[in-house]
Amino acid sequence: MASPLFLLRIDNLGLEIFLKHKREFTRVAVFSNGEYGAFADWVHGQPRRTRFRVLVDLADESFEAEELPRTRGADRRALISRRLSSYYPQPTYASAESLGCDRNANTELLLFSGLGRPARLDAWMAAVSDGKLETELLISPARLIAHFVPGLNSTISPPTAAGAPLLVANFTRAGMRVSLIEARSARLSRLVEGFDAHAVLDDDRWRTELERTLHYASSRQTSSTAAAPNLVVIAAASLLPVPPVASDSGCARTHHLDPVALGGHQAGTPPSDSTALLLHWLARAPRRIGWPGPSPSASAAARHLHALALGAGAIVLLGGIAIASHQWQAAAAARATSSTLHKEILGLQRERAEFEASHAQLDAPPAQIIDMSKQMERQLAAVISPLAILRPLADALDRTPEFSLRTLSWSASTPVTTAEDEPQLLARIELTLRPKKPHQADGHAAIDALVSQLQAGGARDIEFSADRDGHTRLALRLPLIRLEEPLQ
Amino acid sequence: MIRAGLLPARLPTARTALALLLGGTLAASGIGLSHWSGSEKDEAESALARMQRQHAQLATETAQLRQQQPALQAALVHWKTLAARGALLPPAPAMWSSEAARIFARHDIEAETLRFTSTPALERSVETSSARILTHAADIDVGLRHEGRLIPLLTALMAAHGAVVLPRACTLARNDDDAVKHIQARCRLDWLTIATPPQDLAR
Repeated sequence: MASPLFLLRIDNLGLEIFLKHKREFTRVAVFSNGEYGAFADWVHGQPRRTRFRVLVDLADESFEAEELPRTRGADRRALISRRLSSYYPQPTYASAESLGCDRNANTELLLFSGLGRPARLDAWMAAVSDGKLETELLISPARLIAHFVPGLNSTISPPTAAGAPLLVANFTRAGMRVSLIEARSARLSRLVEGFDAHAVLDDDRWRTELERTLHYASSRQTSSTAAAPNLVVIAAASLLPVPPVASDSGCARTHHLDPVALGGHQAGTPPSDSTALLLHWLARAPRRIGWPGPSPSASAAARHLHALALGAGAIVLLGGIAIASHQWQAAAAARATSSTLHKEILGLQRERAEFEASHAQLDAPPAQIIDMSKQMERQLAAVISPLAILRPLADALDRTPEFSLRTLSWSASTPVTTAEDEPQLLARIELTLRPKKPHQADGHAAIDALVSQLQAGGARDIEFSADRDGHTRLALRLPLIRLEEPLQ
Repeated sequence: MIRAGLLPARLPTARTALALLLGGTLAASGIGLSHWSGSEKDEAESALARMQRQHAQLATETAQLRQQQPALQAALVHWKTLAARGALLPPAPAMWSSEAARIFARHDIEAETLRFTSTPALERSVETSSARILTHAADIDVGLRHEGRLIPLLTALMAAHGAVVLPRACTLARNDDDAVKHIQARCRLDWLTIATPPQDLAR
C-alpha cells in the first residue's frame, strides 16, 4: 500500500494542505501565518510513512547570475557551496544552475536562485522536520513553470517557437507571479502580492508588472538572450475582457494556457487561479528539480542511518548465526567422532591390559623371550652331531679297506647361503689315513675311490695331501642335516 | 541543477541512538555467536586430535602385541623346555663339573676335572636390562676303547641338567693298536645358560 502524499502550499497568507485523489485536489487543512504549533500537531497526527511535497509560493525568491572560474569535482562543489552561502541565509532553500561555459575565458556562468528571507518557510518546515516525516520535494512555482510550460508547446495557443524565452504570468491567492523562462530554467521570478486575478485582468496594471520584470531581468543580466520573450498568460483568453497586446509589454507574442483544462479546478477559486495546475505539476515533478530542504535530508539520513544500523546489525547477526551453525555442526561431528574413538580406545586399552597381564607372568619381556628363543635355536642348529659325521665317513672307509683311519677331527664351518636363502650348516672335517700295506701300488686309485665315495655322500671342497710317513691327509666340508627338535 | 551539499542539520536523536544501539547489539550478538561457536569447534577438534593420537598409538601398540603373539607362543614352548633343562638358572660350573664327573664314571672313563672358561655373551644382547646367553666352554680329553663310545658319552653330557650343552668340535686319534684305550678323544663343549634381567629392569 502506497504511503499517503500530501501537497503543501505555503504563501504569504499561510499554509494549505491538499490531498490528491485522481485529478481532484481536496484541501484537507489550512493554517494561517503563525499557526505553526497547530500545524506541528497536525503533522504529529500523520502516519510515519506520510510523504510531503511543498510548493513555496513566496515573494522572496531571488536570482543571481555570476561568472566563476571553471573548476571540477570537489573544488566546484565547494565554490558553489560558498557562493550559495554568501547569497542566501539558508542554502538548503537555494540551488545553482550552469548556464554555460566560456572556454576561451575559462569561466562558467552560474545562475543562483533561492529564498532571500527563508524565516517564514523555515518555521513551517521545522514542524515537518520535528515530526520526522519526509519532505520529498520542496520547490518554488517558478521552477515548476520552467520545467512544465516549455513542454506544453502544443497546447499553447498559438504555439510558441521552440527554445524561445517565455514570460509566464500566473495567478494564485498570493498574487500574480511573473517568471522569465529560458532553456527550461527560470531566470527571474517575481510575485506581485495583493493582485486579485479577476480585478487586475480587467485593467492594465498587470502589464506594467510584466514590463518591470523584463527590466529587472535585463538589469540583473540573468537572461542570456536579447530576443523579446513570448508572453504566456496562464488564464483562459476568454477571461480577459480585452486581449492583451504583447508588444505593449515588450513581448513578441501573447499565448494563453487554460489552467482548468490542464490541471483541473480548485473549488472556491476563480477560473484564472492556477493553484490546481501548480499542485498537479507539484505532484508530478521529479525530485531533482527541487531545493535540498532541511527536513528531507535530516529525516531521510536519520532513517537511512536507522536502516543501515539495523540492517548491518541484522546481517552480522545472521552471518554469525550461519557461521555458528556451521561451526556447531563441525563441533558436533568432531564430538561424535571422538565418542566413537573413545569407545574404540576403551576396547584397545582392555585388549592391551589383557596382553600386559599375561606378559606380567613371564620371566622376561615377550620380545626378549622371542629373541632368546631364536638365538638358542641358532646355537642348536650349529651343533654338529657326531653320528652325522661318523656315519658317512664309516660307510666310505668301509669301502676303502686299503686305508685305516688314524685321526679324525671336525668342527663347525662357516655357513653357506644356498639358492633358497637357507644357511646350510657345514662341518669342516680333517682326517688322516694310513695305508695298511706300505708302498701300496694302487694307493692313488684307492684315494680316488674314497674321494668319490665322499663326494657321493655330499662332501665338497675335498683336498688331500701325503706326508713323508706315507699318511694321507684329507680335508673336506660335509653338509649336515639339522637336528630335529634339538631342544626336546 | 546543482544543490547545496550539506550535512543533515540535526544531530542523531534518541531514536537514532537506540537504532545504533540495537544494530550494535545485533552485530555483537552475531560476532559473539560466531566466536563462541568457533571456540567450541576448536575445543572439540582439539579433543578429537588428542583422541586420534591416543587411538593411533594404542592401535599401533595393540597391533604389535597381536602380531607378536604367535611368535611368543612358539618361543614360550622353547622357553619352557629351556627352563626344564635348567638353562634359566645361574651358571654353576662346579655343579656342572660334578655332573660331568659322574657321567665319566658311569661310562667308565677316566678324565680330569673339567675347567670352564666363560666367554663374552653371545650375539649382541649385552645390555644388563636384556636377557642374554652366557657361554662357558670346557675341553674334555678322554681315552676310549672304541670310537663308538664317544656318542653315548656326548649324548649323556648334552642331557646334563643346569645348561644346554653343545659339542662344538672333536678330534679323534687312534693310538697304537696294543693300547687298551686306543682312541683318544678331545672335544670342546659349550655350556649355555640364559641370564634374565631383574623384573624391574626388564619392564
